[in-house]
Amino acid sequence: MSRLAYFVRQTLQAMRASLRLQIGAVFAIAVGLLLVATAQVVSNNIDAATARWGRGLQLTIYLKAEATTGRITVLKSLLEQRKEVRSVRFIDSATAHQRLSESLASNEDLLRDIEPNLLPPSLEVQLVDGTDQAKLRPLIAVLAQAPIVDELDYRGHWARRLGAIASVSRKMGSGLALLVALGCLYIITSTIRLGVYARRDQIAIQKLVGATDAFVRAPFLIEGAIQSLFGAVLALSGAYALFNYASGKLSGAVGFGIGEVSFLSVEQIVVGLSAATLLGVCGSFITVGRYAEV
Amino acid sequence: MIQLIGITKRYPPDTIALSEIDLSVGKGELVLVTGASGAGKTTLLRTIFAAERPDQGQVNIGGRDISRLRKSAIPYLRRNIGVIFQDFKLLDSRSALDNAAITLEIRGLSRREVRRRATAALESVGLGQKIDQAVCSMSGGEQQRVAIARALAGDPSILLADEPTGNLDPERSRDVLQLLQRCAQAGAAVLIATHDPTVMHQANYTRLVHLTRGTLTNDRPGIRPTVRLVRDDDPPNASLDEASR
Repeated sequence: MSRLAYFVRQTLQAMRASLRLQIGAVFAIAVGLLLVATAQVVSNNIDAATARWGRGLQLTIYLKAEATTGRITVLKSLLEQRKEVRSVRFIDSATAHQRLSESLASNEDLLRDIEPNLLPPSLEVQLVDGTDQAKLRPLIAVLAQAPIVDELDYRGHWARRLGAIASVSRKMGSGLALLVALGCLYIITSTIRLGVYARRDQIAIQKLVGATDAFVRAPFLIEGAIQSLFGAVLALSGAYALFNYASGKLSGAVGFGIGEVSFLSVEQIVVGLSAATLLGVCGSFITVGRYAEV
Repeated sequence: MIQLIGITKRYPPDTIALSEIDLSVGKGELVLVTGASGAGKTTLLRTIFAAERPDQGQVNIGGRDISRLRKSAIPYLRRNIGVIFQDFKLLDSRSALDNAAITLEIRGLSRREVRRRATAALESVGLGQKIDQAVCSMSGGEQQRVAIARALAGDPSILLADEPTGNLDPERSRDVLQLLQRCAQAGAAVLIATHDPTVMHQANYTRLVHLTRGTLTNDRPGIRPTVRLVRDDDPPNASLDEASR
C-alpha cells in the first residue's frame, strides 16, 4: 500500500511539473473519445428506435373517400378475425386532421387552408409481435384487391430501413472507435515519451542504485491511466451535455418519439472508462519499454 | 566479498580499459585504487556493480558470479552496493533529502522509515541542517556529501567511491574519508578510486592498488591497516542471495 502511495505521489509530482502538457493531452484524448461516445449514443438510439418500431408493427390502410360506413365495418371485422392482427381502429378524417394539427404543434398555421375532410379516413391495424413482411404478404395481397382501399402503409419498411441505418452506424462507430483509440494511443505515447525524456536522469539514477524495471515503469503507467481516465470522464461529460442540448432541441422541433432517446447505459460507461484506462496503461507500457530501456 | 578474476574490458575500436585484473576485497577492508585519469579506475568500479560487463573474467560478489546474473536480478545486487559517483548523479531540482532517500524508496520502505534513515545519512555527512535544500543551490562539496549520504543511506555491505573527495576542502575531505573508514570498520568492503595523492596520506586504508592503463601494477598492504570488526567467513548479505535466485 505504501509503495502504491509512493508511486501515486511520484506520478502526481511529475504531472504537476508538466501541467500544461498533461492538460493538453487530456483534452486531446477527451475530444477523440467524445466523438466515440457521441457515435455510440446515436447508434444506441437508432437501435432503440428500430426495436420500438419493430415491436409496435402497424399497418395503416388508407380508405377511399367514397367508402361507406357499412363497407368499412365489414372490412374492419374481417381484419379482426385474422390471426396476425391484434386490433383494428377506425380513424375518420376529422380525427386524422386533429392528430396532424397536434403533431405540427407550433406550425399549426400550415393546416389553415386544409379542410378536415381532405385527409382520408383510415384503419390502423396493430399486428401481433413477430409479424414480419413475409407473414403479412397474404393479407396485403387481399387488401390490395379491396375496392375501398386506396393505399397501404406498412411501418415495417421503416423499421427495416432504420435497422440498416443502425447497422451502418454501428460499423462506422466501430471504425471510428478504432481510429480514435489509435489517436489516443499516439497522444499518450507522445506525452509519456516527453515525460521519459524529462525524467531520464532520474530513471538512470534509479536504475544505478537498484530500481527494478517495474519500479521505473509504475509511475508512467499510472500517468497514462490518469490521462486516459480524465480524458474519458471529460468526454462523457461533454457527450452528456451535448445529449441534453440536442434532445431538448429535437423534442422541441418535432414531436414524434424523440422524447424516448436515452444516453449511454451504466454498463457502457463503465466499459468505456475501463477501456480508456487500459488504453492509457498499454500506451505507457509500450513507450517506457521503448524509450526508458526497461 | 569482492573477487575479480582475470577481468578484461575493451571498448571499441581498440581501447583496453582493464586487462587481466585479479583483485579481492574482503569485509571490513578499505582499498584505495589509484592511477592517472583514464587508467581504468572508474571502469573497475562499474564492473563491480554490473554497470559494465567484462569481456573476459569473472566478478564474484559474496561468492556468486554476477556475470551469470539475469538482467532482472541486477537491481537486487545494486541495492547492496553503495556507489559514490564521480559526477555525483544527483537530481538537481530535488532536495538533499529526496536524493538521499532514493535508495530507500526503491526498497519499498515506509515513508517514515525512508525519512528517518535518509536524514540520519545526511546528518552523518554534516548536512543535517540542509535536508530540505535543493541540490542545485548547494556548493560542489555539499553536493558531493549528498551523493555520499545517498550511498550510505542503504547501509550497503559494499561501498564504491569514485573520487569521493574531488570537490572537498582538505578538512571536509578528511571527514569523508573517516566516514568511509567507519563503514569499513562496521564490516563493509570499501573501494575508493582516486588520483588525489592527499587521499593516500589521509586515508587509513588496508590495501593500495595502482592501475596503469588498465593493468594492475601495484598491490600492497596499507601502512595503517584498519581494525577488522568482522571476519571474512561471515555469511554474505541476504539480498545478494535474493539477487542470485
